[in-house]
Amino acid sequence: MIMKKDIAGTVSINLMSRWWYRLGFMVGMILAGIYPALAQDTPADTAVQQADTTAAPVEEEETTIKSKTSLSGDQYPDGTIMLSGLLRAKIEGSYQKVPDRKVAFFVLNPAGEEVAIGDTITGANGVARIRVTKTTLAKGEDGSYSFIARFDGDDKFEGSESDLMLKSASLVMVATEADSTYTLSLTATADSPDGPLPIAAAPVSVYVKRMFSSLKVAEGETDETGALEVEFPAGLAGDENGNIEITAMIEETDEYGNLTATATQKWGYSVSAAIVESPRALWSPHPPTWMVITFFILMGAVWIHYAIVIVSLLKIKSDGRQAAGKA
Amino acid sequence: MKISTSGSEMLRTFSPQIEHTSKGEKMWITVLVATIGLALYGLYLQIFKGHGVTGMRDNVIWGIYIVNFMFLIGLSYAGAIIAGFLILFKVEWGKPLIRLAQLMTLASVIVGPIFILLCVGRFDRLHHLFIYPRLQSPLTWDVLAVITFLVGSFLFLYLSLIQDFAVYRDSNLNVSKWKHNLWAWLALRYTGTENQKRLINTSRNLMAIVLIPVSIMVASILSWIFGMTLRPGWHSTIFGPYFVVGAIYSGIGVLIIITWYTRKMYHLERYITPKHFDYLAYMMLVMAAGYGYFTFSEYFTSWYGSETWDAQLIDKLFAPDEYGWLTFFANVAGVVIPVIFAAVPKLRKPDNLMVVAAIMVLAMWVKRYLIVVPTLETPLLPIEDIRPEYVHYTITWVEWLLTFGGVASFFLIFTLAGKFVTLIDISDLPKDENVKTQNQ
Repeated sequence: MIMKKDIAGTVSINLMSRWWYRLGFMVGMILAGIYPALAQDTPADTAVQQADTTAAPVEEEETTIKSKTSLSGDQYPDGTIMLSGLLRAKIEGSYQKVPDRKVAFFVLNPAGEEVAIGDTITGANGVARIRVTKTTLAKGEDGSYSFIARFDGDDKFEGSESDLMLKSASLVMVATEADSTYTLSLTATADSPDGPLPIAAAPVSVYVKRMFSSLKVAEGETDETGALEVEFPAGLAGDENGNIEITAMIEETDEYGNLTATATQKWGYSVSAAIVESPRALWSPHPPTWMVITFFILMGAVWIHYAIVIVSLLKIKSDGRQAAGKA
Repeated sequence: MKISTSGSEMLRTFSPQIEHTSKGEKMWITVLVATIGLALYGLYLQIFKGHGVTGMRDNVIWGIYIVNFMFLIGLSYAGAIIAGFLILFKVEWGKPLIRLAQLMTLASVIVGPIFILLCVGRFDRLHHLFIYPRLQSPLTWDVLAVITFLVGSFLFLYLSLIQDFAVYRDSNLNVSKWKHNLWAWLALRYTGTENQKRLINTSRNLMAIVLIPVSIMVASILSWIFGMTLRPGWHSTIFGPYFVVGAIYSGIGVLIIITWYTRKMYHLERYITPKHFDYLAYMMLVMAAGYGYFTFSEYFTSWYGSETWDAQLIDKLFAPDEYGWLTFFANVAGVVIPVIFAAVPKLRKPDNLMVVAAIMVLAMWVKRYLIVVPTLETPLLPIEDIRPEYVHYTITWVEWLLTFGGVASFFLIFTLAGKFVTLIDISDLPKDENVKTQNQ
């Protein structure tokens, strides 16, 4: 510390004239800047809050999140039904999909008793799927199927369930090609004791599978016989063999759920999935040889000059030492 | 060690600055440190809360951090090129400006790369850049080039300082012991022997020869980060020279401001004369013409081609309700006004040039913003049903804090350098008669 006596004889202290006081002052300023944030929400505080929460059983119950299960079914012409149970939970004000949870599926028998079908785990999209054959299922008195999807809940989410009643029906798709025109003949019928009954005025959509989702390529409505013919567009990209996966759907009906028919047709042009390596691409795994050589020549030239300068600096010092020795 | 009369006079001029820290300087340093402290608070928030505290999102992945990086790194290249040419061509009038240009280089090349680090979301993976470098990536070129340039800038400045360190060491400056010892150590036992003079001159010339092309290359590499990307406004063959000219141009602007400030602050009217400002104005005029030409070419070719994606960007840049006013400011304040003030002798006065340079520097910063942000706000695929803040970039207060922190760091480095060395090379000043001639 430097102490100065002024004219009046009092002692003043000039703290800032010392470098370590300046350094301390700078560190102090920095800490002063950071402290309010630390004081607001330090990791330690958060940990304490979490510890307090787990210590109180009443609060723990409050933290269980409500879940919601939605059940839908897709009927296929092969006599199967795909049941899809979507599990969601209300997190931060909006419903979000819940993955990795077990959803159990049941069908009701004529006595109204639950008969287990099976259970599956929800995927990343929150959906648990199970495929069942209609002939193995119990029907209700009116000939319809009553399904239940149930999530029992766990320590994080409350349990929930959803039911679905479906009448047996199917959508059949026949693909034909004539004079380079592709046609899809679709017939929607509902099963009844008297035989198949046409489903009239039902909107049908036709999709093709693309990389990320399905693309709608045609739509129409069934006539009074439950039939519909749609033209399939030419010139779509297929897989490496030109195959296109086609799906026709009557979607989200109250009585039948989704009626789905699928077919794979060689109606597209071939698109190879093989990656063709471009020799000029910067994203190729290895840089081109000329680039490596050029890079090292340029960098080497610069750093060699730096080295020469550093050697000169050492020579300057050595020369100074010799000059001092002579003196 | 012996120095010229003007050198001794210069040392006397700067000695109060080196020996003592005035109350005003302490306050100035306090303000700078406080600003940096606030910036560190912003950095703390950014690290612990994530990049959500910035305006950067999925589409606009770069904001003012990269703008600051481009601007500061540009300044450093400009400083090296200007100092290199002045040394290499032994420009007598330019000697008082060499140290200022070199310090500008050093301060900006230290602060600039910090901003590129602020763009990095995962600091814990930063070392991967060196462990798994992709030599075919312009980002890797830039990292290696900036490191190379940083080392070169240190060496270049140090070579110019050795003789001065020897002068400080042998002077009777009233400084603390550590400062005196450090000077002695850095002076490398320099006593002014013929061999030492030859080695220093050769090394300085060598570094000038190396750093000029290195600066041009490194500025070009920075431009290629954008130019190699297939985006409107970026994918351009003129981006390399455009960035080089833009960097030198804004560097001259900052050099005018620093020179004006140093002249006023230390009353160096005898050494830094209106002639120096005239020469700097001529350089500014030439660069403004080149820069304006490149800017016109850039916009004109994009507009004339009318390629859909390019047209979207051009519309955005010139629409008054989007970036039209900023584009207007960047071009009028960045090109037209400096050209007028540098070309008309009556307007070409040091004070006028300082004001014009300050406005031009701001316009050049805005121009870099216009290079980065509007292009990122013009994606190839249309964005629908998305929150506006995910498409449009807005600078947050955290980003402003860190930006001001960077500016404060630049000035702090300059201020602290001024406490340790003279801001003008005292051992290599022009001969006294030259000073008189320029003064007449």
